[in-house]
Amino acid sequence: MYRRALTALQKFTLRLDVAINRVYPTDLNPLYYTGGLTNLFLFILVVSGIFIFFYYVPSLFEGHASIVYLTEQVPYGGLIRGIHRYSADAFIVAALLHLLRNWFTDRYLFSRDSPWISGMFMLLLGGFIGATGYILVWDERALAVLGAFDGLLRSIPIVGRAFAELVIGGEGLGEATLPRILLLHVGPASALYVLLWWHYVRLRHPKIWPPATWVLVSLGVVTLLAALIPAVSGTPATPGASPGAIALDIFFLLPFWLAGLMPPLLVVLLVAGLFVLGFVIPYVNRESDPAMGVRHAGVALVIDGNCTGCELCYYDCPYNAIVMVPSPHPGLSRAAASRKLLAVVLDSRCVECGICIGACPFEALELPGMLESEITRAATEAVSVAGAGRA
Amino acid sequence: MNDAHRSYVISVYALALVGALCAGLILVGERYGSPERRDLWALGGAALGMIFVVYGLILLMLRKLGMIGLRRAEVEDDLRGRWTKPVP
Amino acid sequence: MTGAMPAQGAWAPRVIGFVCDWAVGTSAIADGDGRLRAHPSVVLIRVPCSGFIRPGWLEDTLKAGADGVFVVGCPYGDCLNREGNYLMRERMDQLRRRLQRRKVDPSRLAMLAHGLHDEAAFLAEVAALLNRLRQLGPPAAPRTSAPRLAGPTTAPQAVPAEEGGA
Repeated sequence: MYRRALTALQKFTLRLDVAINRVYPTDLNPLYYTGGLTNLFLFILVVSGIFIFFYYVPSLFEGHASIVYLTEQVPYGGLIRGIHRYSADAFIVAALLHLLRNWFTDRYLFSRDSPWISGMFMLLLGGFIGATGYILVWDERALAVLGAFDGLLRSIPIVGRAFAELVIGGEGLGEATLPRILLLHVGPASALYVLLWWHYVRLRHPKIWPPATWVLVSLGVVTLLAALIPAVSGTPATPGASPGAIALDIFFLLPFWLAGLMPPLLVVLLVAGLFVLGFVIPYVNRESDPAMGVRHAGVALVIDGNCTGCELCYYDCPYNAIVMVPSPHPGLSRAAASRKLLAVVLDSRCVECGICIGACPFEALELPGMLESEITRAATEAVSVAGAGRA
Repeated sequence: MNDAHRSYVISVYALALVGALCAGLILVGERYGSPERRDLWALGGAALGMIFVVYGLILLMLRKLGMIGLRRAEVEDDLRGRWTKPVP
Repeated sequence: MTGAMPAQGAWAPRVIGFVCDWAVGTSAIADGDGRLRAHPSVVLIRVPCSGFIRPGWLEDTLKAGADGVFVVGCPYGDCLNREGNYLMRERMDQLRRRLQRRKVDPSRLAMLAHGLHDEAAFLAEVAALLNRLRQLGPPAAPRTSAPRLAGPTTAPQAVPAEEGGA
């Protein structure tokens, strides 16, 4: 059932591509750059965040006022604040699109589980950073979010109280709270870049930035939104007063909204369960569509006798799965006899795509499931089938 | 030049005009905006956003005209005249 | 080479297509032999990635009697293996330039890019390719004499490719 659902979703995703590619040149299709868009919005967040950092005072009395000062008194301060707000929203949306697209198009197989796992961690951190961002504004909504967060953490048995005190900076709300939340906002944001290194490390030429058109349009849309729908703070937070009903954004603050409806521990288990399922996705053995039978053609094999150490396979492999080592012995063919380097395939990184076979001019690489002799035989047979078919 | 290309060229000119207008609005926002006139700051900000969008769309139009592109091999292929339609 | 003489009536060029796993789905448009239902003189062979194709195989296919050969990869920017279709396009370019010196018309080789559910556009391109090949006619017969070798007359030893790890 999982397989059928996924095949249907894959069909939807790729049909959507066909429609989009009628409008844009294919290499400008924005859905091919969901990862780059996420990175772009992260960059905008960091730059606008640094600007806001200059003005924000993390204290219970001045937190709200400093942000209001930034929004109303500093030239274009409100714009930068709005850009920060809307880029954060866009970051989550782009990250989710990235997750969904890579899930539905099977881009997590073999060694690509590395980007997948690091991506799940980044999503978790991103959500956490977003929640702390809401709290830093220190208006009524921030207090509601903090209260909900505190409740969620405390509901975790045994370690819950320790986590809650870590986040709040003490046993209860105090002067240490906002500086702690600020640390938990900026620190994980820096940790995101470490996770991004892990995310890229198995890929050659990762698409880090979208094409220029989309960088400009995204930046422009976020700025436009910030100007047209200004981000404003609510009334200052008054801890201790009984909270009225606060409207919480259902999309971005979903766990906190749910905490008002369900027992907090249930929400925690739900979120944890979703993330565990997410981590498991690359390893669920989903058999391929029979029409795609050639996918498991076996890890590429180097034919030692023919390899001349020309490095073409090394440069072409999209997963850095081939390394060149000093040749331990000369090869057999004439060209290979005087080689200095030998290509070695790292099995754990090979995704069995065969791009190295296409790159090699010396017939020194083969896919065990699709040998060159099979290809040439299939081609010759195909020529005679084609000849018969044109009657 | 066929109809589609003609419409792209007209779009480029129209977008450039909009961009010039936005540049003017940015200057207005900068000059007359103040904490008391925050709406002018908002206007300047919206114009700034529009200029980015306009610039991005101009690049898209140029790409569809085949005047800018990614890699040499693709541009040659597109311009050498493949058997069917040009860049969509 | 078995280049057939143009017969009376419509001559259907023999075209072989290498289709990668994530490019256009062939189960709906081809029969069990790989023949396209819409154009029975076109036969498709499935490969894991468009980047898997060695240019030498395309040359061999032409030598085996095909009038045209094409490779279908994923849309540019969406290769499952990220770069396979770009790499194949560049190799195809180099192959065309090389074959031009042997007077093989470059439009006999085609690099197409179509996604998994893009059958309509794919069939349109194949039809256009067949038209072009009909205009070109069957490929010319090769020279019958072997090219002269320079230097000593001993031919280089042919070494059979061996299986075997490092």
